[in-house]
Amino acid sequence: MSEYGSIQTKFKDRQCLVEALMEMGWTKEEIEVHDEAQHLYGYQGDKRSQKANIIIRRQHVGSASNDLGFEKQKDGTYKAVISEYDSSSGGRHAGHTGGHNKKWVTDLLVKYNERVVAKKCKKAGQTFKKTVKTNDKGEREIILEIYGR
Amino acid sequence: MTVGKKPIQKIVLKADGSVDVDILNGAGSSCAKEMKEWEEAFGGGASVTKKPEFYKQTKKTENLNTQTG
Repeated sequence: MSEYGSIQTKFKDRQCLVEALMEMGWTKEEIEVHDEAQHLYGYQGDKRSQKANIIIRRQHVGSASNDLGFEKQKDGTYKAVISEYDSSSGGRHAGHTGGHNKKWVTDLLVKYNERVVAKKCKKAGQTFKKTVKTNDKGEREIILEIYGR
Repeated sequence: MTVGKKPIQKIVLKADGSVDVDILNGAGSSCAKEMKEWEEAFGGGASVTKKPEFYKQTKKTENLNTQTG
């Protein structure tokens, strides 16, 4: 008996999200974590109406950047709060041209997903083997094979 | 560590942020429970269950047998 499914993932685990951001290049000290959402600030130090629970302040994002963050939603998931400027311009940790755009958030989500698997396996006392391959469409896929105790 | 052992689950992290989960063995109820746990771990996104390719191939073979019989 087996079961197969495809899941559209969302940021939900705070620890995994912070670790994924660290994998993108920020240090733990550069990532603010708040139980209560805090205001974000613009590149001129102006307080913005947007709030977030996980925040990277503008000085750690890039020159002329605004704060970027992740706001906890009512369903417990986190939504990225990124200014229009930072979505289109390259920041310090953009990793590619186009800034902290949709592709950047998706890349972060892939790293986050790997953290989720590692955390669940550790909790269950399981191990996993990681393989990276390119599929028929030329897209990178990470395959994690999980082994029991 | 994993030499000679068969994996019990296979997870594929795709470039678009979605995840394919394949529970490779276990009773029906435990498979469903495992899948539910993964859905919750990954943020409660909707899971679309797909039939593995070998089921389709088996079905096709059966049809051919029916025609020749």
